[in-house]
Amino acid sequence: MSERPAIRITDFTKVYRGFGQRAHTAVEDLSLEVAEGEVFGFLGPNGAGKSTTIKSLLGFLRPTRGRLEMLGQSHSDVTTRRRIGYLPEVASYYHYLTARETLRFYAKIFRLPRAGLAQRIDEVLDRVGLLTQADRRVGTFSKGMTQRVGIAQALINDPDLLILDEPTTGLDPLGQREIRDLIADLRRRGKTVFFSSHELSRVEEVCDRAAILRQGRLVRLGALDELMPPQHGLEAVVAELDEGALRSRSPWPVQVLSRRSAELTVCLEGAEDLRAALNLFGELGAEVRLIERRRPRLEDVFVEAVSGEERRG
Amino acid sequence: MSAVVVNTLREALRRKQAWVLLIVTGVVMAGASMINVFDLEQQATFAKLTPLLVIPFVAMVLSTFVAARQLPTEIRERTLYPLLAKPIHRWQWLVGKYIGIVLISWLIILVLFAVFQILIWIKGIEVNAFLYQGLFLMLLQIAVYDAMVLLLSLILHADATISLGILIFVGSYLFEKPLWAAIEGAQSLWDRVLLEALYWVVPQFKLFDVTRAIRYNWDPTPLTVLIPFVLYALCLIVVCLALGSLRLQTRDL
Ligand SMILES: Nc1ncnc2c1ncn2[C@@H]1O[C@H](COP(=O)(O)OP(=O)(O)OP(=O)(O)O)[C@@H](O)[C@H]1O
Ligand SMILES: [Mg+2]
Repeated sequence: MSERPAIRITDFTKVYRGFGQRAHTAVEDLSLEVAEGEVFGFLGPNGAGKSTTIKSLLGFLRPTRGRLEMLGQSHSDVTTRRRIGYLPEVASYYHYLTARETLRFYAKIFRLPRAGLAQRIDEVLDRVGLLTQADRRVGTFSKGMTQRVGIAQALINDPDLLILDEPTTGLDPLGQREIRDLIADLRRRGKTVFFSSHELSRVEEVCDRAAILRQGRLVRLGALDELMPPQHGLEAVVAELDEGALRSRSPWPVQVLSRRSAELTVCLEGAEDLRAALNLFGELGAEVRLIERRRPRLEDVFVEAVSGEERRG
Repeated sequence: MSAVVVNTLREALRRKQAWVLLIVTGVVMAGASMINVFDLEQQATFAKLTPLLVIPFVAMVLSTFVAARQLPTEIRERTLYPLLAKPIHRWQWLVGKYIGIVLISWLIILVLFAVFQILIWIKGIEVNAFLYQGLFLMLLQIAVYDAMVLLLSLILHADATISLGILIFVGSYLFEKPLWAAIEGAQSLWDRVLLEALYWVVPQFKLFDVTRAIRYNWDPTPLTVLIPFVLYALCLIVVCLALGSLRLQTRDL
């Protein structure tokens, strides 16, 4: 790990307390480092404590225990935030401002130089695909458009560290792909991105490392290659296959992954020998359209990490 | 911080209710004073008194609704998250909001005052400097009041803030004299200290009211009295904002 990580979380615990409410431990003893220039995926099921951690990083919640640092400074240091961009999980923007005015407002808070600001704002609006809507009031925006405003405001100061809480919620498939490209682009430029997400296939595409949180505890942490070791088994797309016959004849456990009209995607767990598999399908009179070594999927790792161990009370 | 001030003003202007309220009250008051006040015997005195009696209450009610909802709305609508993740201290946000609210309140007072000035001018009634001193004190009064409401809104729900704010304001007008009398007639030193603490800790809005002086045609208050007065107001404002910042700083958002 680098000398000075972009984010360092040490023994962080957050307990929510409220009048007449039972204390609730949302995050417990979380320690985690994100290196500079890294794209880091922060994963976990609903209620795992992702947003709690992120909000604490930004100083909205006071940690019950532990230390949180960003760019080498304590999380409560206000001046560090000049170099940070943040997209909240749920936020709204001032309804009475237009998209362009919204960005100008935040730019003023950042004290960005006036020179070239209009151009910078247009650039960012273009980046999130809102340039044609720039002079409409944010209050009239759809959910996905509002999310785009959120991404734009997180980018306005060209941050070194970007913290995104579920950046793809509400976005159409095109928008989701744009986010992926955006993150890839930021990485190319040496920026650090820390984001939570439920879109595991997207995470898989862009992340260097990931952490999986479950009920406030860290259950997996590491580079994606480590998290997803190569799998044993073969995956095949086959037509005109008698499923029952396959199950009875196959020496390997059979798992049907998807079924689309005449085509079946099956997984032969533990199978290594391509030729043997092809022979098997041949004997069954099936037509093999595609066969490949089984690819590891983050989704499987996630499901295993989250449900594998005993649930805490 | 100035961005927050400007934004607060912009919100008030773009949310057209503020304008509607202002215009409606202006018209109603103008109408009322035409019919009643100016036909009374002591025309001149009343013409001078009415603005100083009416404006504080109207401005107070209007600005309560502006001030009490500002902070809770930003928290509830979560417009606060993107903002406070930027290099701005929470106290800066609070003070920015406060200045914006005060400017709105002053605008309300000045518009209402202008309406009265026009009426007085039409009637050809002579005014003395006292009226303007009264205006100054009204501006000071509302600034203290806004700070208090802003502090309350960080502790209570919006509805409770509105009720309590108005209650304290009106209560101060009703109980200023009896409370002072109680202090004068206090039995023990302890009672006296307690009552006096109560007197000075709860903002005494009645003190900013100079209608009595106008009615009896006193001379304008000398500067020696006015300056401590301004200081008293500033103290209250600073205390309210400091407590508000403290509360904001130590709270989960
Ligand atoms: N203000 C609060 N008061 C009490 N408990 C809270 C509060 N906010 C969150 N929690 C609890 O903390 C836990 C973690 O919540 P958090 O929002 O961090 O989850 P998350 O991982 O972001 O989930 P999601 O994927 O649904 O966004 C949950 O059990 C939640 O009920
Ligand atoms: Mg969340």
